[in-house]
Amino acid sequence: MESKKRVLTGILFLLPITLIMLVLFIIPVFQTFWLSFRDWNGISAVSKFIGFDNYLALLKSDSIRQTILNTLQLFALGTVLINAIALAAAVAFDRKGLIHTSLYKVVYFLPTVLSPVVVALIWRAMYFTDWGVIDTVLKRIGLSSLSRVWLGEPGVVMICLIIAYAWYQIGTTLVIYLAGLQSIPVELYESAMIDGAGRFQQFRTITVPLLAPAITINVLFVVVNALKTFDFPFALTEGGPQYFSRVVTLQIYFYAFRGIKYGLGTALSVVYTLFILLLSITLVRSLGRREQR
Amino acid sequence: MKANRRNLSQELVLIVVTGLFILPLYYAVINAFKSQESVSLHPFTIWFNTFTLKYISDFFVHRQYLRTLFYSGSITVLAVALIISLCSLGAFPLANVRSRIFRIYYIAIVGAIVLPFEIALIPLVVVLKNLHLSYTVWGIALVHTAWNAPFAIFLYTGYMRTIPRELEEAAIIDGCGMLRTYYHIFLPLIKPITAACVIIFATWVWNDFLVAYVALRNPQQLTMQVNLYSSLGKYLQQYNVLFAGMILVCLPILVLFLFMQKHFIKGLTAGAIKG
Repeated sequence: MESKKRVLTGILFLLPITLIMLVLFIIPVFQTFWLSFRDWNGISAVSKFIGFDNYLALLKSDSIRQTILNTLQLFALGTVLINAIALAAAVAFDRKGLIHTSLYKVVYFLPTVLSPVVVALIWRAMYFTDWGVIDTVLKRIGLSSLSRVWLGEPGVVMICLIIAYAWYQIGTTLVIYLAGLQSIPVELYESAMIDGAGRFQQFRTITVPLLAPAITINVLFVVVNALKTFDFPFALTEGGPQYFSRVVTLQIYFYAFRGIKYGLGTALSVVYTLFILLLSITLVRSLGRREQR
Repeated sequence: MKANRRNLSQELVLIVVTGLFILPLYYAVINAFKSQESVSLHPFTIWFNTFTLKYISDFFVHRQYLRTLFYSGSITVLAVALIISLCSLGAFPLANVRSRIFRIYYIAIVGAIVLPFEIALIPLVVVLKNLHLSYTVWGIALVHTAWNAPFAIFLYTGYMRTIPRELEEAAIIDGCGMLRTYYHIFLPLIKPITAACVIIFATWVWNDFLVAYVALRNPQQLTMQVNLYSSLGKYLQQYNVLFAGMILVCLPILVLFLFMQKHFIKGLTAGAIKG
């Protein structure tokens, strides 16, 4: 049983950081919630209660469907792509006799320390028409007919964004898988080999189950990061062409600063918050259950 | 012998793939030092066919490199200092005092980790204005502190829970108050997670674009990221200057990374264990 004094002292310990969070995190989030039910012009102190009108207007807005589709694409494709490639690469690097394992680790980790703006500007140059790297290579190998305005075509831009995003983010995931693989005892593989298990069978029955905690962490990490990302897509395409690479975080920003539609912005924020919370709870539950089996 | 040869060919494949992976970075670095003409004629060359420091110095002079370095630096130092000191203090009761208040607080903190900053954007601009904090280094540093605090508290609490309870009990018996236990016993023991936190949050705050973009628009006080992004419009036809700018913007964190890669990888992957 803890004494009352210890609890009170503990509350005092938490007070400074809680105050900062209260003013700059908690209260603004609740204000968003409150404002989403009101008609507010952003300047005046008064606002009028309008019920769910903002939410209905959000449903009717023409860009919202594309925005949601883009967000789903980014986090679903991004999660699968990043995890699949990182896992494959980790398996390839986790071999005895490789000369440069730690060097590889550093190389793949390098982009994750760079800022989103820098990475986005580099990829803008990669995707440039004519003198970008991709077009240059295509021209060299005689496939210049494939060349296009990579970041300017509605059907292509999201794929380009996701590839660049995967390149940027893969390092962390790779390093976590590598650490997971290195914690699996070699004896397990040796005895499986004696029992006549093939490479793929070993991977399925030893590697994947023992890697379950790493998979959980990586999936959660990539999903949450992809849903929170703003700087990178903003600096790469600013959501363009039109709204064909706009994700929800960008849309909220545009509602706030470009269109001055605070009602729509706050309503979208509330919906998005609920979506992220529900998704993370579901993921933690289902992945955690799979891990226990 | 045969196995050796197979290893060698596998290694060769890995080297080629890794080379392709690093290509975008190599391309950016090499083009920062080539002349404008040679870039437009041969955008992608394996080595420098011309070499100039003109664009590096252009970015220094025309884009106020030192001034932005100062602003990014002050914001980062201030925010990281606040995060480290206040969150380790706050995590202490969460890890050591058993009470329902702290259990609930901890669950709320974990939930807060997944929330994106954008959802508070609209009211936050008004809040900052009312507190006379918009357009100030303090304002930005405090916003970073508030939004990184949940994750920092989560990391600190997790680490403190691995420290044996007997240590704290012994300190109580010796008449140590909670503050002294925290300061003299826990702070030295949690150095590894503090090192990880410094790296994680310094990288995140340094690399941030959005907070500084919406809260610090005074053209006299731009952070490096905002400054680099605003250079885009002006230098779209002279991308060399932007490449040079990228190198300059990344330089401080790259130097840190190269000297402390092990800590970086450990720290930022510890950073991945969230949610």
